[in-house]
Amino acid sequence: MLKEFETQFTQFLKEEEPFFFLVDFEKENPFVCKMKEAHSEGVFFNIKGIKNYEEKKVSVIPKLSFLPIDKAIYTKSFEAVKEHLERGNTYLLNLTFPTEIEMNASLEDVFHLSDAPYKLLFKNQFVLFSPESFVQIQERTISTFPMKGTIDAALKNASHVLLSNKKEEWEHNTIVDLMRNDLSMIATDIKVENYRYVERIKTHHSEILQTSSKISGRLKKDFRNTLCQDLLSLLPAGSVSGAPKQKTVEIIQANEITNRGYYTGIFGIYDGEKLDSAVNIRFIERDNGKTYFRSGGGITTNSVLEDEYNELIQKIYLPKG
Amino acid sequence: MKRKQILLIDNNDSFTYNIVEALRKIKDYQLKVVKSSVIKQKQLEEADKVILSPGPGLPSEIPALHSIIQFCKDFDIPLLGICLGHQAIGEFFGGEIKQMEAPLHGRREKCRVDIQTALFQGLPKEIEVGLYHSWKVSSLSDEMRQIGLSSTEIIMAIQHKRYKIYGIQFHPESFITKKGDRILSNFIAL
Repeated sequence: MLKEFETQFTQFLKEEEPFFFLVDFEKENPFVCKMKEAHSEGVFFNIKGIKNYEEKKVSVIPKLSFLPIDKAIYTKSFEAVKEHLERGNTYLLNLTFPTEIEMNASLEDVFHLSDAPYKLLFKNQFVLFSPESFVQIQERTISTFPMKGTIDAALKNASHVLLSNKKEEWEHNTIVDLMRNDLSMIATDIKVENYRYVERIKTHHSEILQTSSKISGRLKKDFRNTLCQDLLSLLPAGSVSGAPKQKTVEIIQANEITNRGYYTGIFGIYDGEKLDSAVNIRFIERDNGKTYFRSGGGITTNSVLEDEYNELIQKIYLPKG
Repeated sequence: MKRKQILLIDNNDSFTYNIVEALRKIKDYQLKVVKSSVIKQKQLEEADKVILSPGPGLPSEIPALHSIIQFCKDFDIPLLGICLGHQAIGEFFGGEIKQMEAPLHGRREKCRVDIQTALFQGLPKEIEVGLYHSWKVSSLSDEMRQIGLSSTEIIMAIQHKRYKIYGIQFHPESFITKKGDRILSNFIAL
């Protein structure tokens, strides 16, 4: 499956044929197709205005109800992760859970309602509206924009409070070093171009501020030959796994209650010239007649159970439209 | 003439390629990266300088580290251990390591370094360093001496009194560490 994906991806890239791609967290079910054929596969995307569908007016006002994940279940995983952190087996780990939700809107409605920079509706299996870029490639420059650190924008001096929060700073540093490392695996001349800049993001109940950094590097001249393998070697993305990655992913798999699947994977497009891709977060999926919202957050040795549990719940929201 | 070789031993860490990127700026050397779990004697024999990467867990969980340090000592090959590698060196020469009450991950700290040693030549006496550790070297044997100390009195750098063997607890490859590249090039110049 992965071999086929690599062959197709590389062929499209070399022929400068625009294409769409999607990779799951476990790298078991990658998907690739020509951009012009995505539509007939039931795949609809919008990456900062590059899209393959007609806008549709949605009349429902989206409403959502859910019972948060059982705190005892969350606590058990959280405590296990904490122990690994104390022992130095991991420095940062992104712990996620599915939450069963009920909503009065379809996945398609949610897709149309959102104005996120990265949107995907995949075969009516899942919808995602992600604010987080994975990598962008233009000519030989590759850039990544890890996002870590959030605050309610309505709080007084929100931006200042977020930037002066030490725990947020340490966690952000970890992700910057991790992403520098990952880019160094496939590129050279790695630079942190923009460190901890603040962006405003709308949710249905409020606005939040998030901090990101921009890290760039230079790809080798004939990068197209190996770009697919190179991108796969960066997965899972650092911001949704942790550091050190290999050991951290083992701990994730031992302590989460289900496979991640396409959640926290990546998707993207190549438009014949540039490549842009997103981390698959803000993710709602249908499974066996049920609907799940998947969310999580980074756990460090400084994390407090109560706060992390609340963050997991706070990230469950629908776009306002 | 064959180029000299730096052997970077990767302890399954996610910062190893930050070290690789820093070493790319040093031209006259060939760099080889090998995982500690599959290291071969021959690779050590070919190395002119050896670096032990950071990594998760404890030095004792990676038995190969012991024989690598022994080899560098026996054949007088310059060795630099970073974080986990530093702790492995501290332990190997009879020191102790201790789990810290609160791990320090992603921290920016001040560190005083001994600028008389070759490793820290050309640096200011106090540098800003990036930390990722939950264990520390808590005591040293007489064979070793301390050449760096954090503002909270944690041993940040050590040196063998006879061999060109060094350990640094902080991460020279982190973007947080100012002058990290200089430390690495000092080591390569030994």
